[in-house]
Amino acid sequence: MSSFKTIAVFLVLLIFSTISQAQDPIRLISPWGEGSIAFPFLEGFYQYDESRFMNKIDVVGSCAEVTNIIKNTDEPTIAFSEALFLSKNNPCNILNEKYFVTTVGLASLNFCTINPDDDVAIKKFQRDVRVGHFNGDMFRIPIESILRNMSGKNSRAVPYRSTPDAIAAMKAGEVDFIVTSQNNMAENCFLTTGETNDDITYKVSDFYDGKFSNAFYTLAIVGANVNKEEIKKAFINSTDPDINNIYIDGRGRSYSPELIKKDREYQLKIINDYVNHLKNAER
Amino acid sequence: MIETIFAFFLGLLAGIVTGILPGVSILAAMAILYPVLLYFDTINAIILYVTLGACVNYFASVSGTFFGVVASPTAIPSMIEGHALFKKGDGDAAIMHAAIGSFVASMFALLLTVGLLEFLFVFYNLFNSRIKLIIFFIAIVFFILTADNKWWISLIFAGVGLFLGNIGFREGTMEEFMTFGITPLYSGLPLISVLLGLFVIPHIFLNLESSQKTVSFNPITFSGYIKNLKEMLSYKWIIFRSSLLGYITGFVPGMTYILGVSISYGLIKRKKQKENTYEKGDLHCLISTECANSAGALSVILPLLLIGIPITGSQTMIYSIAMNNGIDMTIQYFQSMYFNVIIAYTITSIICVFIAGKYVNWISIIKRINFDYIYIIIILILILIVFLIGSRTLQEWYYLSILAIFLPFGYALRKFDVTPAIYSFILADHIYYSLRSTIALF
Repeated sequence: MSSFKTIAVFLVLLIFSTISQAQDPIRLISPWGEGSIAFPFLEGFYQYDESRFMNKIDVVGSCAEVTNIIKNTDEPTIAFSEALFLSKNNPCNILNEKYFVTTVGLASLNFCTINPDDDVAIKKFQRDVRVGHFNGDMFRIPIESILRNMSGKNSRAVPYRSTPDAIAAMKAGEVDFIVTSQNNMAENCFLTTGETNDDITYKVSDFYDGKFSNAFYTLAIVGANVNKEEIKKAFINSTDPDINNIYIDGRGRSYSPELIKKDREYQLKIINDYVNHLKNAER
Repeated sequence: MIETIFAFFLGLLAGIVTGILPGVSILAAMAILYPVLLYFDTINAIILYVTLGACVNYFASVSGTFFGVVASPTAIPSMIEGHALFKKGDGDAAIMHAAIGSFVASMFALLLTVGLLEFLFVFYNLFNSRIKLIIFFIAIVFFILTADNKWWISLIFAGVGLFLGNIGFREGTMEEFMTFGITPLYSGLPLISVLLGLFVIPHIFLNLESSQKTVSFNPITFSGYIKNLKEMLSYKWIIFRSSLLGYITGFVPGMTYILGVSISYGLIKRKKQKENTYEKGDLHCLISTECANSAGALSVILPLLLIGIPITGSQTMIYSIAMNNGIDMTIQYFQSMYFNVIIAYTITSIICVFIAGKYVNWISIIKRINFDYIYIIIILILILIVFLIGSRTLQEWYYLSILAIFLPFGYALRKFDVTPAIYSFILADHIYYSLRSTIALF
């Protein structure tokens, strides 16, 4: 009987200890819906550790809503974010030491066109051209800088509602080139700001050395009430193709595990340098 | 092959459910199905999408005719005419003419696509911002002139629609308009809340106020379809013109086929009004709008299938699956698989014509019920659907609040034709971007 009591007490203590050690699962938030780039990355978290991460992704109305939730939540929460939103007043700007967790990947700016011949395309690019783009100032400022250094005086950047809209305009002959961070969205990408992007023939840095010749913007994870090192470790492991099958480069983004493995201060510095470049370029 | 059959039947089932449920859009259905789609080959995902889209039209038309509700602004004219016919006791004629018109228009659009495959690049010009801007301008003028109001009242409605449609934060240009720091407003005003608050629910209130409490309804039969099919020959020019208009305007990104539907409907209605033969519940008007709708529903997919340009939210999901599977959506890819799509589309159209007829007969038991109760139940279902759609982005209370704000305005304006406001609201974002792009080009 006494041994039975001992076992019972042990079991009660074990259960109590397990419950007390259990932590709330971490909530996953995305500003974009199913099919967006955010999903495979966020899904990777709960595929990696089902006990630590919720097995669903909450899609919220806008990037401003992400910022609002991250700033006000009491729950452990992480969210997918495009790391560069200019201006302090921008409702999507959440990139600071308090919330920034890690970069997800680097997205270089790729210049693409309908013409399949890279040599013809680069020659044409050096004349007066019209370049369609998405993402507002985040893309406009670097594009205009590159055009000033590489193309004719009358070249211009033309904003569109989305990258597919810009591609449609290119098909209609309204713009000569488009800029996208996804290599395989347009027919032929021939020029890139990504130095390690070997799929693309020409590098902007081969033509001139300036602020934006290596421009990229970053995809990032932001979080509240979480252990950032734990999230970063989970992310590195969850995106390791040897562990699971997340197809990081499915959209042609240049993904840099080395950068993610660097510390947060280094990552933030890289991103903030780019923000400062953009701000200075505006002056 | 098994996956293809599964995708086909899943699309069929999803299309039926989406069409039957008032207020549920193709985008919402695709978002629910997306996790399943990820396991499909790209071609099967496309078959599911095409099947779903084709099927929704037939069943949404039944919901519009029977209950006076719509999920999409393109279905507004057919709902107005179909429901009026239904209340006159001609629901069977409305359903059969709409179904046959849709079927014929779908087949016409298919033949046009196959026949013009090598020449469809001509339509790429519709992607040009300046041309889009001109088309948008024509559309707004057309909405104003064909609405059942004095022109200046419609002009005010169109202005209000454009104003409301601009509220929000645009990630394309990183600019915000009239958000006052209220976070949910950054995502803009939700279409479903505005559509239901300003138009659909007030329209139901208008029906509640009428003295007619019951309706008579003749069942749909196979012989009825044959009889109506013969009758449809007399509408051949309306069918041809409307299908062509719907087909062409389906290519314009952002506008989809709203303009085609609205022009087809407006032209017939104007003509009949001039001849003093127009009365709400007009078969000519119904057929023209259904044909434009169905032809446009096919052509709206073509920019995605032919050149990999998704122009609606639901298409973005298909595009994403293709990208993840490493498929470049080019005209060569389309040529390699369009036969499967055509087969799926044709079979779906045939099946849906008949299943929709069966469904209509099944729900026709409602003719024994006082229609006021049905309207009240529909209003409650619509509110629930707004809640559910809002909850997809954790914004259920925001969606309901916007509905609550617009409802009194909609009620006060229920005797006016507010469609210029609804259509302008939808086009506002696209007009803004077309304008921005055009300015940047000069």
